[in-house]
Amino acid sequence: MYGIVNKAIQDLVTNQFGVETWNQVKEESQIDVDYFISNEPYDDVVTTKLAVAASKILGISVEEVLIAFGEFWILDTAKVKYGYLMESGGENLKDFLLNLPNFHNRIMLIYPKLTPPEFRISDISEKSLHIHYFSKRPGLQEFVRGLLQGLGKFFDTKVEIDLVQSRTNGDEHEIFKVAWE
Amino acid sequence: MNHRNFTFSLSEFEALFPFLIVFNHKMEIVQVGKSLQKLCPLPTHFTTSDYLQFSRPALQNPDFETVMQFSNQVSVLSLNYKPDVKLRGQFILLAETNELLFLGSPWFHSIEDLRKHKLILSDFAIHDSVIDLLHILKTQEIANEDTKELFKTVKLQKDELSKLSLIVQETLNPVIITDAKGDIEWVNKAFERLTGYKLKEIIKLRPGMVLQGEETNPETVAYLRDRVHKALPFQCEIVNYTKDKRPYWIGMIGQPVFDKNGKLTNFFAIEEDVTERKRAQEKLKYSEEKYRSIIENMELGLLEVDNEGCILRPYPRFCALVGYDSEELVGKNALELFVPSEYRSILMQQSLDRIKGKAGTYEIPLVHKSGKWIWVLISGAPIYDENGNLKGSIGIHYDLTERKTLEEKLALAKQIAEEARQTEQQFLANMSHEIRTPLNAIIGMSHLLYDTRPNSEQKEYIDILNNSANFLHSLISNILDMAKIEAGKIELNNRPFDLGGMVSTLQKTFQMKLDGRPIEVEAMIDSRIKGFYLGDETMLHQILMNLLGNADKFTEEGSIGVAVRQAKKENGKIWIEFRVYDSGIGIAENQLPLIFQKFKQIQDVKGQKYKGTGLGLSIVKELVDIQGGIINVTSQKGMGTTFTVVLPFEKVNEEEMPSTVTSFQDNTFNFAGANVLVVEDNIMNRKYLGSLLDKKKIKWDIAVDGLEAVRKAGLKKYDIVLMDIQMPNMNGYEATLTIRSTQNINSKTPIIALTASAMLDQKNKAFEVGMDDYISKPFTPQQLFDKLAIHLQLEAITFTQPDAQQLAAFQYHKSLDATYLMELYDKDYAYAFSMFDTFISEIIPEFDNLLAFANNNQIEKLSKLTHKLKPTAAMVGLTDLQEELLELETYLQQAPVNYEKMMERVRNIYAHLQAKKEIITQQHTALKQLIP
Repeated sequence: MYGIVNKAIQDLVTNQFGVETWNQVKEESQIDVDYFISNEPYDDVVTTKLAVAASKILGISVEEVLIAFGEFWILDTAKVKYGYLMESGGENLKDFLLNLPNFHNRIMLIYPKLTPPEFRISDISEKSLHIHYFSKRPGLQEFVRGLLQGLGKFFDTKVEIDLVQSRTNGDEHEIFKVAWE
Repeated sequence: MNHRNFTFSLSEFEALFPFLIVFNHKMEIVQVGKSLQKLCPLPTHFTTSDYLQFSRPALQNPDFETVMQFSNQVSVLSLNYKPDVKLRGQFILLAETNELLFLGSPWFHSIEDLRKHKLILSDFAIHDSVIDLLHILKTQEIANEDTKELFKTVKLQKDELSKLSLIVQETLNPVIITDAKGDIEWVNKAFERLTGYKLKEIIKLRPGMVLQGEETNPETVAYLRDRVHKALPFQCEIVNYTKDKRPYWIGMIGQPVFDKNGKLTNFFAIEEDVTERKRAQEKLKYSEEKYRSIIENMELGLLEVDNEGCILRPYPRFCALVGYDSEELVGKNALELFVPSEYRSILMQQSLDRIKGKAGTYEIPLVHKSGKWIWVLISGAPIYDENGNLKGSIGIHYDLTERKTLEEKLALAKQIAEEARQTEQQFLANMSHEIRTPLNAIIGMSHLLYDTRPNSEQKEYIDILNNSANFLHSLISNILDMAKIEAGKIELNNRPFDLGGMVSTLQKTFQMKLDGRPIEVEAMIDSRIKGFYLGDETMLHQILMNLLGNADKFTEEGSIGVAVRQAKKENGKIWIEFRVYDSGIGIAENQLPLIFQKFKQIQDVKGQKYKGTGLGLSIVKELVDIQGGIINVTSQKGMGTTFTVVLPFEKVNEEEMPSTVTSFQDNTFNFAGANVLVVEDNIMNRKYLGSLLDKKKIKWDIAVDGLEAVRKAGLKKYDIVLMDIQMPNMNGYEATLTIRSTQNINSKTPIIALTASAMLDQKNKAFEVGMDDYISKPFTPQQLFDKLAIHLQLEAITFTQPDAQQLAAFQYHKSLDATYLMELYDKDYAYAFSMFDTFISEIIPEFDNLLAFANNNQIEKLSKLTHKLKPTAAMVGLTDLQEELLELETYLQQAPVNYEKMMERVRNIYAHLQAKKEIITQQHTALKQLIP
């Protein structure tokens, strides 16, 4: 995972709970990193450790941490840091989601050290579609859920997200059904 | 490779190249891709040059062929309507239609440019990498932001670090940093200055090897080694050596440094040069030891205890003082070991003071090892350790045992002397009494001898006898007075009295006393002196009597007198001057200073002494002093002497004045018809009261005790009840309570207490039980009548005073208290006779009972009878006997009663009475003759 992701976790905890709490989370995670560099790849374990530590320090589940982080990534990090790049993804939620596979395919080349997940779209209807999430990383599907929730908010659209299938249930990949009004 | 033709529909081709432009042979735009149309719509009427410019190659309105020549180059077109947008691409000839096709994409510098032109991702062909390039640019931007932030953070940390480094480098305390093994990594400037070593000389060396030397304490070195080995903090003081081998003391605090993984990386130590302090301490220690040894040599025992009072260090002299060896004392609690329990609180208080840092000096006994007590004076002071913390206290002990013994002996000697003095005074008083008793008999008998028709020679002898006896009597009285004054038994008894009236009466009495001698007694009273003054009337009377007596003694003929004037008013006091003067022989100037000295008498020119004790003027001086007054004397030989006494008085507001005061104004009232119940168990008092009431035509009934009083109060209405307090069966308080609290016709009648006690609480009690007033016994008729008048609410009628000639008609016997009797009975000789009569028949036999009770040691009965007899003695002028009875009564109230002392007093009283019996009888006879 690139540093920008860990940095986003740092920003989330610092913005909402203060520097002290972030220091506690970092201490709890036992990660010896003073400063996350955005375009520097870090071991995925770092992200997982930070999520687990934040869960412990903030007294919420790891899943909740990941969901919160997903939303934060969209609504704060990406919006602020990538600016129009986010907006250019589509004029509405559906367009943006339809562009998602394209977007990530491009990212793979831009960030050569990153192994970004792959998204595919199916079951497209007027008010819903299925997002297929393929990732080498286990246990980040709730992060994806948070991202999708964040996108709903980004486009000011009420969304309903169902995990239709999941690797934890023995399936090959995760499928989220995203429905909107 | 196979030759292949590609055929696309326009929309398919447009999806691949959404920013395409097609030019015809005239270089007119004939087709624009959909995204270019979105970015910059084609106007309806235009020329190509209106829409775009050829930036690269730079061509002005180029023709078809010219453009075609550059088809192998990257071409850049500028849109006239979007000057900031350039299209980057290439021209291709469409041979079939003879048209030029431009394939390209807009070139942006930032993803944000897309927003401006409202382009989104899907406006670009999927294969187009412009978006990806913009994405990379964005990433670069983010990286730049990161770098800036990092620089900022690093700068902050660097600033912080350089500040800290500066502090560490420049601090005056030496600082040393070693690696985990303990080898020097870094030292600061202060270290270099102190040791003389430069960092480069000692880097990678062990500090101990460089710095320690022969005076370095091996124990401290071992301690440091152990702490470093265990990676623990350390603190110590140690001797180190400079590069030039000069020793110095440092205090050092150090600690290990660990990295984030808990791995020991360094040690650092901060040091302080404490050489000066150490030297001062050593000096101080040396000096303390020196002074302690001096103190020890001065035979002062030193003892150091800790804050709990446990002995830290006993010094040899202290050990010798308390009889213990040093080893026996160390660690023991000094308080428990040495201090008797009753003195521990003193020491505990002192210990508290030491904790507060206060020094103190106190005397206390200590228990010697042998068990005997030794007295010591302890001077204690707190002691502090080298860090200024209270360590305990040190006491310097000075052996006082010898002095204490001496003090005790002295106190004993003083007590013996005091007792001896008191015995002497008592003896003097007793002797005076003893002498006076037979003397009274002598005087009495000498008077009787006059009645035996002596011849002239015998009469002369009797005169001498009488004069001698009178002289002896006055001598004894003066001695007795002086003894009382010296024993402090004379106290001021201030009461309101009629000062002018008293002086007038004194003048008349004294004139009578001169009995026809050619001397005029004068009294002049300042017109401002009127009414009542608060002062001691008795003392004033005695002062003036003594001074007049003195004047009389030295004046053969002429005048003596007293002049009274108001001298000054000051702070509510009125100072009154009494000038007692005579026209006698006067006193020589050199004799004047002697006259107030005891037993000193002035001599005349022939060296002859004048009669007298030499005490009279001393007594006057003492009495004036007691009242805070001033006495002076002026005299001129042959011209007379003047004594001036100035005494303070307070003016009494007569409206607020209690009605018990002596009044020389002969006020009288019309009491006729009033009804009084007299409750009195003492027969003498009953008679006295009865005759006084008769005189004023007041009707009266008698009740002999409280019970009878209650009974009689229920039978008849009285205007006033006169109630004695101490009575058998039911006392006056109980009777009053009963009368006040039961339904009877006298429940509201005024009740006046007749109390023999001058004690205030008895008076208060009288009011508490419901009495309206009180009269202290003995009382004069006027006092009684004044009270009766108040409670009967009568108006006074003022009579003129009787003249001196009338007063001179009868004289009471000189060995009785004539002044008192004159005042008591006025000119009522019948009444006086009746009192003497009752005294002889009823009271005198009671003195036999007094003796009997005393012999049988019946204290309570003796006490009651004494109380009963006490007021009766004054009725017949035996005021001194009354005083003796009072003394007996007072003595009996003090437990325990010593039988011998009691008997001695009773015997004296009995003898006194026996000696006076004859004179009482004579007086009784003389009074009888005065009654018609």
